[in-house]
This record gives sequence, structure tokens and C-alpha cells, in this order.
Amino acid sequence: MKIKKYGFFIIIISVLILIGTVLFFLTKEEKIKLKIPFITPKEIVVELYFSSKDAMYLVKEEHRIPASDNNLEHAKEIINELIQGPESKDLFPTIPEGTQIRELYFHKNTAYVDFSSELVKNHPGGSSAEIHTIFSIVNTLTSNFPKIKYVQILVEGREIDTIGGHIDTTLPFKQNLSLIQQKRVESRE
Amino acid sequence: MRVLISSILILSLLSIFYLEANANSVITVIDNIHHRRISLEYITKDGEELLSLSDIAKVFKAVSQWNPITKKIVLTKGKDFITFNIGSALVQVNNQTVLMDMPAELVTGRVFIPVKFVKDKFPQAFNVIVSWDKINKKLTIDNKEFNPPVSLTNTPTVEEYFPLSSTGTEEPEEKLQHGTKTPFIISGTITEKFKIKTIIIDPGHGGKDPGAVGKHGILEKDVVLAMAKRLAQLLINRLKDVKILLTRDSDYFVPLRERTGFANYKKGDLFISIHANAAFSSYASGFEVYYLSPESDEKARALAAVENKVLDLEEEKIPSKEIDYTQLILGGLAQQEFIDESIELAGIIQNTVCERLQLEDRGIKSAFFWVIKDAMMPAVLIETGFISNPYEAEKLNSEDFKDKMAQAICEAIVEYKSLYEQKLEVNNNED
Repeated sequence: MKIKKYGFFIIIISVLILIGTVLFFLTKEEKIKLKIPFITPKEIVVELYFSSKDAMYLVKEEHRIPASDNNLEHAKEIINELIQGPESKDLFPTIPEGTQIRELYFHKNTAYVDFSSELVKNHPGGSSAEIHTIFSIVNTLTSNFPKIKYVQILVEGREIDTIGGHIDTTLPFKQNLSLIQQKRVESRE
Repeated sequence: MRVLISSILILSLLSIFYLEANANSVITVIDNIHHRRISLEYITKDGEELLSLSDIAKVFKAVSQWNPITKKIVLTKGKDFITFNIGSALVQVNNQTVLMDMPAELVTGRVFIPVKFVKDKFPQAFNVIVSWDKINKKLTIDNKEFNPPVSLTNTPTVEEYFPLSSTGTEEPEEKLQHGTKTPFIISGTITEKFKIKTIIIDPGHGGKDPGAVGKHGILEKDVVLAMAKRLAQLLINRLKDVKILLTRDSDYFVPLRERTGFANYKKGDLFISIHANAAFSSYASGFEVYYLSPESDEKARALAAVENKVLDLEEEKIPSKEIDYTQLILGGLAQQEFIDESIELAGIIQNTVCERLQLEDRGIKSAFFWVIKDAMMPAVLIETGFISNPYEAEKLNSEDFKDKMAQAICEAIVEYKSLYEQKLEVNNNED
């Protein structure tokens, strides 16, 4: 009987010790994880997609941008960098001049990006340009944020029918890999 | 002795059930328009009663026609039509796409659809009143113009018009004959029905929307209007029995939705949208033809949208009636039924034009185009050249190039038409 009683206490104590150890290591791990991407480095490499010279493909170009500990701020910075255009002379921008990002938010697996009216007003038109504008935004966000599967483009806070009169932009878009050329243009820094 | 009695009792009970089951295997159609009663055999699937389309056509006195290439059955009554796609739940009711609870099913050479769909959608399509009594298996059809009398005392019920007791031998009953083969007899005249008879030409942009703008102020809307008008004239000369319609014939604005709406309303058999391209790079050049992106992509997009809306509903507790799910799912899916024909048409135009005009071949491509997505006919969008490229802009603006472009597209359409109609003949003769 006595042995059984002691045994019971031993089990409880060892379980408590086990839980304590596990919790200790778990929380410690998390602290380390949080430090790596956002606090230690001041700059971070992001993937951006620009138009090829012949407008047949989107080409990946890596840029270094200041790191941010806020995902939404980070995403906004990435889109701002996309608006600035490519560094390589062989690549072409995909966002019309004067366009600004107004707001960006995530809901479930969809990113909503709200642009100023210049996205439509200053767009050159043409199916090729329109497809490249849409999918440079969509592919850039989906490749930097793997949890984001869809991107909804908004202008001045609203869903729009179309950017240039060709493609339906009322629904969110999925990543389009067939447009991407498998050629790497390295950052010039 | 007890065993014998009880087994007899059980047997007799079983036979009653059997008889009842047998008696229930027909649906009684009470047709108050033509004053007749019709018994139709039905089948059940997932608790739904299904009737064959050929029977339904006879009940509504509609003409049913079968297109062996597109696997479509069209029920036509006067100006109204309903199009069913075998193996698909998508149905076109006049110019609207709707969804059935289950796909149109092919059983022993006959196509079956749910009675529920007849009740829900036929009234709107054929301008009648349909009511369905699921328990007694009674389908009643009434005229929409029929006004019920104010006094109900002298109004005979349906039962009085058509006594449904099993004793009546002189009921005005018609039994429809079922053939064992497919009931859609394909004759020469029906092949005629599916020939290409109307072609819609859609010059892009117009009016307040100039489209892409090139050097020296060359405008896409002007270039494509000129090409489209020439193409229309060439087609009128080449295909004498085909109606050629333009979505705009001068410089005015036509909203995107109205272009496809017009094409569907005019029951177009081909939709050709003419555009000029632009890119951020002024070096881009060449010719390309677009069709609608594959179904998987667009379905995923539409479903993602629905999914998010559903989640929003849960969170914000909006009454569910405010969102029309079928509209979201069907947005852009009408064209999916014609995607194979559209790809073939795009390929023929791409090859013919690039070869004849010695243009840079950028290939056929797909995207989610406004003017294509809701087209209930094979549909393509042609990007004739880059107005953003100074050299190509000048070329696009020249009379000679516009003529040659129109001629080459005309040749391609004529070739597609003859290939399509040959296939129609072959399929016809095989059946």
C-alpha cells in the first residue's frame, strides 16, 4: 500500500517536471525564432517580379529592403519597392507612374492591396501590360508570404471591374507561375 | 399451421408493398394548358426524382435538339430555349446561366434531369406555372395568364377534371412511347441548326475609352474599329448565309458587360474581339490570340471568393439571403463549356495571321477576359500588334496592314467554320 501511494506521487512529480522542461524549451525556442528574421538583420532580401524586355514574361529580381517586425508594414514596403521599379536595365516596371499604395491588409489566405487611382488612370492599356501589372503584384506577394494564396486588387478602397478594359479584377487572383521566366537577375548591391 | 398463416400474411403484405412501389414508379403530369394527363416513368437518384429530357420536351411541346460535338441538348419553344450539357450541372436558360442540383445524367441513351429543376426554372423559361407534389408524384402545369376565379364554389378541382382513381378507363391519358435508343434523332435539319450562322465582331474600346495610345497620338480604338469593319465586310462577301454583327460601328463607348450581352442576345455562334496591344517596354512586338483561362484556375478563384464570403457571414452575421452564391460560382463559367472550340479557333487565327503577315508569333495565351468569360459561344480576343512599340504603331496605322490583317483573320474564320461543320457532319453520320 505504501509503495503504491509513493508511486502515485512520483508519477505526478515527474509529469510536472516534464511539462516544466518542455514549456521552458518551447518558450526559449520561440524567443530565438523571433530574433532571427526581424531583429538581428537590418535588411532583408525580397523577391520582386518585373516585366521582361519583350513583355513575354515576368522575371524575378531580388532587392534588399529594411526589415520590419510587422508583416503588414513589411508587405507594404515590398509593394513600394515594386512600384519603384527594377534595378536591371533589361527589365521594365509593371506599375504605372505616380501610383501609390494606400492600404494593405490580410484576411485569411487573401491579401487586399489598395492602390491610388493612378493605377488605372496612368495605365498604358493593352492585354500584355494589364496581365503584367496584375501578376507582378500577385506573384510578388504570394512568393514573399507563402501563407497568402490569393490577392485582391483594390483602387481607392474599392473593388474595380478592370484596370485597362480587358481583365476582370472583381475577384482575387491566384499565383501565376506560367508567366515567370526561370532566369535570375541578381541584386546589384 | 401458425407458421403457414403468418407466412401468408407476410407474403400478402409484401405484395401490397410491391404493388404500391410499382404504382409509384410513374409521375403523373396534369397539363391544364392542353387539358391532358400524362404518365411518365422516372428514376430516382439521391432522393430526387429524375425525368428524361425527351419526355419533358413532349410535355412542354418544346423541340429538343442534340449537338453531338458540344454534347449539348437544346429545348426550344418559340423564342425561348434551355440548354443542357451532358455530365454538367450548368444550364443556360435563355441568356442566363443557372446551376442544377445534380448534373444532367445519361442513362441508357436517355438524358435525365431532376423534376425539381423543371419546377424551379421552367416557369421562367417557358412562361408557365409549374407545381410539384413530391408525395403524390404529381406535376401540374398551368398557363400564366390563367386568373383564378374570385368565387371558389363552382370551381372544379383538378381531380374533377381528371379523375385519378384507378377505375377510370376513359381518362384522357396519353402514354409517351420510349425508344430504346437515344431519343434525339439527328437529321439534316438539326445539323443545320448548329451550323455557324451568326458571327459577332467586337472592336475594342471606343468613345471615352481610347484604349492604348501610341506615338503621334495613334489610338487603339480607331485602329481596331477600322480593322473590324473591314473584317466584317470581307466576311459578308465570303459567307453569304452568315449574319455578321459588330458590337460598335463607330466611335462610341460600349460597356464591357454589354458586348457579351449583345453577343448572347443575338445568339452568336462565334465571338471575335479585335484589340491592339501595349506593354511597359516599347520593345515588345508581335501577334497573340487569347482565350479564357482554364476552368481549374477560375473555379478556384470564384470558390475562394465564396469561401471568404461564407467566413465573413459567420463572423458578421449577415442574413445569408444577401449573397447570391450561384452568381459568384457561375461568374465567368458560361464560356467554360466552349473552351475547346475557343482554343481551336485561337490556334487557327494565330497560325494563319502569323504565316500570312510574317509577324512575330507570341503564341496563344489565356487570361480572365471580361468580354470572353460570359460568352455562350466560342470566343477569342485578338491582340493585332503593339501600339506601344513605335515601329508597330506606324504599321498598325497603315491602310495596307489593316487590310492584310482583316483578310488573314477572315481566312482563319472561314477555315474554322468549314472544319467545325465537317466535324458536325461526321458526328452526324456516325450516329
